[in-house]
Amino acid sequence: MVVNDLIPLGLVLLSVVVAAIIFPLPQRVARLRSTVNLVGAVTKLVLVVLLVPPVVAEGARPEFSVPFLPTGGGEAISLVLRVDPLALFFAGLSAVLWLLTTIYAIGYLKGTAYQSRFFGFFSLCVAATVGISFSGNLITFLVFYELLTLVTYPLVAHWGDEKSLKAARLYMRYALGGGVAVLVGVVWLTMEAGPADFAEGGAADVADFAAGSPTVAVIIFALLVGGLGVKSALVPLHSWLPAAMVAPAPVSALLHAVAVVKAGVFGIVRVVDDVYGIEVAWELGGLTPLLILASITIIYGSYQALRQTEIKRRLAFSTVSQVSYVVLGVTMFSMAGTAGGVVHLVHQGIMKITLFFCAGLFAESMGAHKISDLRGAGRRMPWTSAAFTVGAFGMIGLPPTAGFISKWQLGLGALDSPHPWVLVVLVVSSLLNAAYFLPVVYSLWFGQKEDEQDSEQEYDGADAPEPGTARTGDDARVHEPALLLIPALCTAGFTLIVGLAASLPFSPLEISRFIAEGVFS
Amino acid sequence: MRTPEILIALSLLIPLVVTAVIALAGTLGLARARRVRRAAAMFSPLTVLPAVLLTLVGPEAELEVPWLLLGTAFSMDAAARALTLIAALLYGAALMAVTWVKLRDAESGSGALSAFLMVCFAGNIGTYLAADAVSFYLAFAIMSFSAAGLVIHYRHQAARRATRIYLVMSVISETAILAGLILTASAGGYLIADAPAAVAASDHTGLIVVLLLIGFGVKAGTVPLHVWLPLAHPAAPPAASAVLSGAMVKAGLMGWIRFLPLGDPAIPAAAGQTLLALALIGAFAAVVAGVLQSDPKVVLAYSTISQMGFITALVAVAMLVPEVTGAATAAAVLYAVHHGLAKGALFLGVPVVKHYAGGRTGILVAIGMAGAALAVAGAPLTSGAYGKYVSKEAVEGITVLGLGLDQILPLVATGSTLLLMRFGWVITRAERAPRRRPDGELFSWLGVCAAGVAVPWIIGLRWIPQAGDFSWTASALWDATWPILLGVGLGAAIAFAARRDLLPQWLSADGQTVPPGDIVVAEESLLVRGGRSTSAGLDAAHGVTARVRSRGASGGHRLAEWTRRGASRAEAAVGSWEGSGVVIVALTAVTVVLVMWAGGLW
Repeated sequence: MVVNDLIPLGLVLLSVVVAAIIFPLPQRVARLRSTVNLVGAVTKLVLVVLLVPPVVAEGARPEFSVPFLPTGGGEAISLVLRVDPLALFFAGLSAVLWLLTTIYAIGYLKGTAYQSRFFGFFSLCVAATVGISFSGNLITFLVFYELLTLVTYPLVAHWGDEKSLKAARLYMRYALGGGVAVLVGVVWLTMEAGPADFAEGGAADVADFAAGSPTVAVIIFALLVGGLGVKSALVPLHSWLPAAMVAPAPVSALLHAVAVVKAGVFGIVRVVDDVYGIEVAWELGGLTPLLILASITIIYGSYQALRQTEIKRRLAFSTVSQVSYVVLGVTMFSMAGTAGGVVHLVHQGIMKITLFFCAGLFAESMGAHKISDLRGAGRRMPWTSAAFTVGAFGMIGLPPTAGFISKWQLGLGALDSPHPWVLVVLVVSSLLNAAYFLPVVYSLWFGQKEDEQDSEQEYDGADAPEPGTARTGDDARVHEPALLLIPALCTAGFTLIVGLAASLPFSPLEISRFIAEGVFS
Repeated sequence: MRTPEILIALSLLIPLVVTAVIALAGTLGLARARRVRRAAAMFSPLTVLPAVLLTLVGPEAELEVPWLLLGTAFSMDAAARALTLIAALLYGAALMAVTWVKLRDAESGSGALSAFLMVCFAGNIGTYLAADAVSFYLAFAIMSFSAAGLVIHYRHQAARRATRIYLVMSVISETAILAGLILTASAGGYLIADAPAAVAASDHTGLIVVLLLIGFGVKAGTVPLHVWLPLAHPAAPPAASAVLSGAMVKAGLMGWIRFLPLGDPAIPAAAGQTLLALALIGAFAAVVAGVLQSDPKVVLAYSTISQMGFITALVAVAMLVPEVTGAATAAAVLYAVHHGLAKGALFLGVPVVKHYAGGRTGILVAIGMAGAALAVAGAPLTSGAYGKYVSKEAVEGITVLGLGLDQILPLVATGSTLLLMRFGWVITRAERAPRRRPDGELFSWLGVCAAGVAVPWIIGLRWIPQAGDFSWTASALWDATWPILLGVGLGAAIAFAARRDLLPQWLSADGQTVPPGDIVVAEESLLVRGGRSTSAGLDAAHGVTARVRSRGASGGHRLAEWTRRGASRAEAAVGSWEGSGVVIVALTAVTVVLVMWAGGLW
């Protein structure tokens, strides 16, 4: 494939074009809207997949750049879109999950109002995410990062009721506040060290500047990471995330798996690895506080998840915890750790989106919102329950899921790093994850309704029907809509496949190891 | 690929494939699903055949799958060969007992039960065959979690409680093992062949050893981690208990053998001594707890804890005394082989006694059960005598608190005798439900009995060269006999005393004095009470912080309200959201065009 420099621009514009077509469409032309959506999503996925071999194996770096802000004398500050392995890694995740979430959303929103608005902003959200992944310097990143905040607001507020609007406003306040910090940091750093193109091992200008005035460099680092920490839901900046759960299920799925939360962590990875460079960040002493913050977030998020009784809120706090694995990995200052953190960008995405797809399915098909509603759901919705089980096992880190690969890699990284105690954080987090996911899995498959519990003393199993047999009343099979189910099964399948085939060429693990080598080169 | 390689792959995959068929049959609609499930279940006992074949033709089989997980490898050695054969026999028999019976006699949900058994089998032999830490961990986790499906099978209250406790213990076990294995791999022990040396050379040897002792100790029923055993065994169907006791607990033993640098002075002596003390406590205390039970399967579960204490003592000796490491390890494996078949026969025999204890088959059943019980006790000519003889030889000259270990261990046989007398007493009084025609349940049990007579000898003499031969001298035979006679005498004395009401009231053997699961009952209530008060305290703390936060936020709220009013005016001005979406797209388009123009692209 001829790698053209316009490809990154094309990939960003693709989603914008889709949005531009969809916005004016009237509500009733569902088929055309779905077709445009799906064609866009498939095209993007194919293009991203085709980019993998040249970029990862052959070292091609397609780059598109235009002057953006004039500067006094020297060269202008440019908007740069560049495809490097890390960018492709993130774009690949968003391309795969966009396609699946679009299918899910088409099924989920069937027959509801304002679909053109929803899918339009949905596409813009993806455009922003692709922009974030391909950004070649901080200014470009900032532009798309702020754009993402703006276009996700209508998605969170989609239902338009009091609760949604309140949650959306909370989200907006947090995101804009964080955005201001990032803005100040980016402008300040650009003034001091120039546009600071992302580079493997860090930007040379930033390294020089940090050597000259370390204090200012630390302050800017704190501003950038603190601002990005809002979207990545680092404690204590996480409160917007559980509140934003009122959004429609596909939005929650996208928010948690790839778009907003991930954009925040992805930004942190960029700042640590490609702007400052891990060596410089380490010498400045910026990594250890961040590592401790990530550890606290991991434990605190798990602890809060344990206290929740609603499915979606438990998942939300689980995201708070799990996303910080990425930060943990990239700040522990070891190559294996960086690989573990980066690979968790993808692994957490596919696992968590599976869980959200399933939560949406449970809510839609059975009206189950609380964890106690899920008792015995395995008999009524076996496929959804199976997918949920895979996702939950992934979160706990059981083999052969993707989550196990992350945990193993992070554990090895921790022992390689100056902070072997991080292994304790991982172990405690595993225990907590098991404590809040296993009971759910247990009640899915083995749970029983409360009224059954009274009569069970006499129940000796002798008359238990064959599993999978349809029963009357509450135990009857519930219809699991195909458009919602297939994406969930796909991501559950991916969770197993990327775990099982972790050592194949171009597997997420192999690519992230390659990225980590670049970071430490 | 060569035949042994293919056999390894088939041994692990075929059970999983048949399981998948049973699971996916659910998509076929009711009647067909039932037919497919029944057919798959009928086929399920045959899924162990590749593993049997593998142990016969592939003593040094190896299989590498570099793309799987983090690069996996499987390989066969003497220990794996012996234990894989036993596992295959036991799981095959269990599957047969569950499925090769008339439909009306079958367990309800026998399709699901055989599916869980097959997955558990694949995991179980996977732990034996794994040649790297990750495959081992994968197999161990698959085995542990699928066994929960065996324990909960009947879905009654006791099964649920047993499953919950089993799962809690399994999570503790898995977590400890994961941490231990990550530490091992980080020290360069990713491949099991390198693991013991890596653990010994690691900076964290003590920590790894403790983690692995705890992690595998849960499975091996080491006191005080044994609590799940006496709850899970009676709750599970008898066929499942047979594989839990006969094969699955041995995976814990295998974990120790594979990863611990046995006999290496790098292991802190305290670890070995503690393990030895716990092993001996388990071996004897389980007898006391066991004879007070009234459910035959609980009695057998305590017998397993006692016997695993014996095996664990051998591991501890292998850890402590470098000179006998090889012999003690081989003895532990041989003892596991013997115990697997003998205990499997006893568990499988529980329903056999229920269904076939009358008439001419009754005599056969009595002979078989008595033979299996004598084997567990270690009577002369049985596999137990061989296992105990080899173990005694291995630990000769090692003393604990001034007593020779070779004098202490035979007393375990006395305890076993007591336990099995108790077992015989309760099972002869258990209810009967005669079946007319012999079926898979009877035949599978007979098969395991027959295997128990011959297989341990063949394995010991042919497959495990370090185990050594049995000495057919009068003194060896006497050594095997006196502990049993002592046990019989003690048992008779206790029975006599009980008949005459000479025993204190609290010692009544109705499972009330020591409830099954012994210490977990106290732990459980402590946990429940502790958990309740902790969560109440935490709720209160969260309430306080919420109040503080809301007070602090009220100032912010006023400011926010003000901006909100402004913002909603702006919102209204932009109009509907469709409108604002168009605005954003238009603005973006204009910006892009401008930027491209400025950049000289046009």
